[in-house]
Amino acid sequence: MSFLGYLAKRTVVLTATLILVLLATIMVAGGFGIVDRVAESAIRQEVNMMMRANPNLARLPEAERLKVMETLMEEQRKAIGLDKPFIERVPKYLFQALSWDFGKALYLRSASGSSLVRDLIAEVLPRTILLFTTGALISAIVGIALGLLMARRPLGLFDKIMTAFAVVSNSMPLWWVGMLLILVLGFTLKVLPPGGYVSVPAPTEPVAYVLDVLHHMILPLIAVVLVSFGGWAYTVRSLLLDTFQQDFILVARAKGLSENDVMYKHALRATAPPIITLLLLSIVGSMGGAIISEVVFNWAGMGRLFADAVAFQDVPVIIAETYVFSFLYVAVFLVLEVLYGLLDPRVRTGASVQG
Amino acid sequence: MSQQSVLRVEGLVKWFDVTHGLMDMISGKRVFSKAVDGIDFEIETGRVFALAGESGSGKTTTGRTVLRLTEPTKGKIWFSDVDVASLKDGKLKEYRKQAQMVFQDPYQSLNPRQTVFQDIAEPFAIHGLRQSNEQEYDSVARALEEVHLEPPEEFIYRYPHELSGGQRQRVAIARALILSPRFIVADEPVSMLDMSVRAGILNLLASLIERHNISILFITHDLAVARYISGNMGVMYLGKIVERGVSERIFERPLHPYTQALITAVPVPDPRYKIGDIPIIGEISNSINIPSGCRFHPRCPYAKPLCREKEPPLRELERDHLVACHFAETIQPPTNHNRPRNDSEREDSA
Amino acid sequence: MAKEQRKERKQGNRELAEFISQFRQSKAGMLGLVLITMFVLLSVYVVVAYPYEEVVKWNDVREWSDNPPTAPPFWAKVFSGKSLPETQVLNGSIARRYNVEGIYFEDRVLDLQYSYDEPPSEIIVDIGSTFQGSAPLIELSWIKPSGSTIMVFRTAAERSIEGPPYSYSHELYIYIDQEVKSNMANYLLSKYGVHVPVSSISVANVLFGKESPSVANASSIDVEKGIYQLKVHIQAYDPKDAITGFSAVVKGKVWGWMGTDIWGRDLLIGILWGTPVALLIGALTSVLSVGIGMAVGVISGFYEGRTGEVLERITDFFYMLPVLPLLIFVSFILRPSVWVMIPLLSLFGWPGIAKTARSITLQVKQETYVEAARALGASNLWILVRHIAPQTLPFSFANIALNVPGYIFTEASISFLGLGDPILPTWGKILGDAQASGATIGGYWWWVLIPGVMIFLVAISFALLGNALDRIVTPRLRRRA
Repeated sequence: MSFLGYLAKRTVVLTATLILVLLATIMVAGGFGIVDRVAESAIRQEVNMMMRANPNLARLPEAERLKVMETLMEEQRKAIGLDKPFIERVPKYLFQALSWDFGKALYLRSASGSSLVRDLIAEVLPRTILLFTTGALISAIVGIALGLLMARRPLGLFDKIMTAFAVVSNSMPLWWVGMLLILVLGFTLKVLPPGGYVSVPAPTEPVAYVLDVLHHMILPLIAVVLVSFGGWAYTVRSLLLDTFQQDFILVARAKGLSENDVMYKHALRATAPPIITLLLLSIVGSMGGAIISEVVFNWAGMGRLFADAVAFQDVPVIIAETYVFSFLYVAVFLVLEVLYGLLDPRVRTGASVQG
Repeated sequence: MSQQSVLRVEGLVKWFDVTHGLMDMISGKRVFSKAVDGIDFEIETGRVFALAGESGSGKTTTGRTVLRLTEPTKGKIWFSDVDVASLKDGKLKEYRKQAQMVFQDPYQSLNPRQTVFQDIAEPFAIHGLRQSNEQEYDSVARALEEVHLEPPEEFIYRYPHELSGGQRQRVAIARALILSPRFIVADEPVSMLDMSVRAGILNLLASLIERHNISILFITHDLAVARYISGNMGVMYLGKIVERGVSERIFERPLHPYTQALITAVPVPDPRYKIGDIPIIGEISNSINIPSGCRFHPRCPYAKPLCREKEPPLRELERDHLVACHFAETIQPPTNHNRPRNDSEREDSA
Repeated sequence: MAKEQRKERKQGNRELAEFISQFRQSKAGMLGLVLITMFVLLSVYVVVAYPYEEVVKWNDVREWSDNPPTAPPFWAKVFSGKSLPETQVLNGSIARRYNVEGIYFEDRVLDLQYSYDEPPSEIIVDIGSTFQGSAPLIELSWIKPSGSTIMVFRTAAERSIEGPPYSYSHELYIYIDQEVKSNMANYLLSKYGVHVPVSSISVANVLFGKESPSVANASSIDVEKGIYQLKVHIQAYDPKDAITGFSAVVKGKVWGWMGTDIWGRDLLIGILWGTPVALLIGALTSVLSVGIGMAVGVISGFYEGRTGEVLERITDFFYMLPVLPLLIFVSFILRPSVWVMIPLLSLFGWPGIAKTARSITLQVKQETYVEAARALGASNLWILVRHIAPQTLPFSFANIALNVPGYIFTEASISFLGLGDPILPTWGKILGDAQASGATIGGYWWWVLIPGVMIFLVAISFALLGNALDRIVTPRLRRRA
């Protein structure tokens, strides 16, 4: 089928996936009664406050008071919609989530004081993207440069050392490296702030503010790059070596092109599609793993918000964050499929495997 | 026919569904590649029938369909009075014991992870005919001797990558023979072998045919080989047989323009003879958009308006010599076709 | 003949033998294998030497109250240059009893040999006594090597509910007890005439430091080295009154092979026990996920029709799920034990392998020798088992090894947030505690470094093994070096 047809089909499938994930999240949270339990206790608190505030009610005998409480709670339930069984409420939750209406957080508040989950997320999302996309890009650039060097002299000393380094750095969790770096640079040497997104108190003047954020970004970025660039370098090196074996490189060399030309004009271009794919995948992957790293660096992004929500059992935030993560994942996969279609003509024609 | 025919194909059709455009899918229109578009032929016991043609003619598909490696779209395949086209499961497995295949690529048709022994003995295991290790060893050893891989101990535990192309093909033949089938489809068995090796394999096949009284459907694009090995042959073009008959006769007097062109292109290793102009235009069209009327008319130097309108039936012009052409009687074979027989002449092998 | 039979078996093993010899040539692979073996042996030792009941104690903070909190390992002295005190338990004092005019006295002394450069992190003194009638007076004093004597604590015994005879016991935390602190102030006042606010007094400084007027709140002190004595003196009114117990725990500043955490837990136990847990989770999850992925991938590649399509969609669905957030979410609800975590993790891990298995199957399915087998009469099952599976199996072994580090990391992440197995100590949990207790900014490097190094070592050993296997399995054409 045509490319557009393929694209349409994939979009449908991916959207269906997203909805399924969201549904699963809601079902799981609701199925275990978490949503209800949490809401129920919130209602109880509200009603208790109301009752205490009203001196008339306090004077009533025990039985009467309980009855009034029950009535008030029932009213509250109806207001939130808890009167219907969970199953019936699922479509409503689903629709709300899809229209980015996540309701109110139970405990957490945004810096501006809003309790709307949407605001909370909007506040933290850019920070996560800032840190991890920058980190992925720097790792990729450094890695590609090193990979090129490695491919020039395969099995040479540099190649072997970098390969060993790649294996070693891949075996260390990012967040642990972060902890070590904070120990060394933040505690022992005291050259960089040990965490946080801005200093406390934050500078008010815009330029100083930006510089402050960048200053705080250095430590996490070092960690991200340290852990990732080795893997990048090795992957690029392998891709290049694979490409070198192809006939068109032989032709280029036979034509008398300089090694530089062969490398940059021909080989690198051929490896561009998988590299772009890897870049996108690594951005996506890093965001998933961002949760722990942000906790370690005290970086106020999506990940740390998620960890805080878990710690505080702020269920609406947890559900919303899970959904946003899923959405980002699926969105990136869709972009990947589009890119693949553009770059690899075989996909465009929908050629089947049967030759 | 005085002898019983082993295989008789009637109106065999194989169409592949290649619908893939989005618009076509929506509108429900289906696009087919008509690889085999209605052919008939017959093979007698102990005889070789060659199916010759260019790539895209449908000959390989015919071979695979006859063995049910592909499902026929229409038609009957009579294997000793049983219509094989509709067999299933157990009966199909029975059929497979009696009808075997030798494939074109000796480098691909053996599992690279299995030894020669495992390859040749595999049919035993598949059909539940396992014997003791010694007996199986003996059977395989004997099979190796038959295909002239001697001494068998040398070869029996080798892996395919430790054998030459010719040796691999012999193993493939041994594998095909081990269950004593009555019929073998040989799909271009020598095309991928070096010239020097081909004769050996062909002669081996010839001697095996004689010894075991097997029938062979021999598929090839090389007319010289077809002439060498087969008693009867059919020439295929775009899914149909355009000429059919005794091989030697077809070579002596090709009736169909296509056959004539093919034979003209066969090189003769004699400097006295040069290859003449091949009276053919262009390349084979694809099997999706088949020309109207006679399929060959766009390339035929003798094409007339009738050829574009009406498809010529396969009709018997001489005894045992059929051709599908409206004007076969009037076409003169090209002048340099009648070449003197040279020292590459062989006796009929079947 | 037996000879042929033996030969065939050898032939069947020839591929295996080739594989093993190729593997032996890979230094990295062998190293990985050796490391893994060491870890397995360590795990066996751990499970035997520290049985499960010990592990449960890990979570009970009361068990660890005798240990110095956030104490580095004893070998840390090498790096810091200073000699740091180790914990000592003092008991076995000898009683000296005498009476004067109807008042009965008893003295007991504990000796403390002390030559470290820093004072201990705490001293906990246990005093017990029994008495018949009137409550005796109890006094605790401290004698330094230089000879100075400091009165530390003085009290009258309190009657227990039951009695006579009454019993009294007291556990005194010398550094934090307010009365002790004011006694220190009094001492300084009387000796040097200085008024030092009680709240700023460091008892350790006074007890151990070279004496000077400003010793009480100095930031660092010179420790007097020599023999200290802790003396308890009881003044009682009945001959049967006596001191029943007198012991002290002098908490050091280093502890054990791997230090302690903020609750004083011996990190050695936690870290050791993390080994079998990590191996178990990593290996089992990997095997499970590769098993599922292989099965799904091969089936979906082989049966290309609707079954294949459906399986492919399912694979895609699971592939696109964001692992960590969902896992955290589910763990938050379930608080999974190790045995629930394993299938949970593999639920997210199998799609990757399924995709590759599917593409291998698709490719093998098209090979001529598969068609040849079909022509021989082979059934689908036969082809699957005899021709396709052998192509996928070696690749799956490589994958099992390569996936282990990822699963260990993921589990560590979950435990880091406190959502993992509630009882078993895992390295992630220890690191999570470290982060929450501010180890990174407090400089408790051992708490961060050692568990992380363990994770790293296990991960890299599987990575080395997996890489070696992968190189052998991947067709040589695809590798240049």
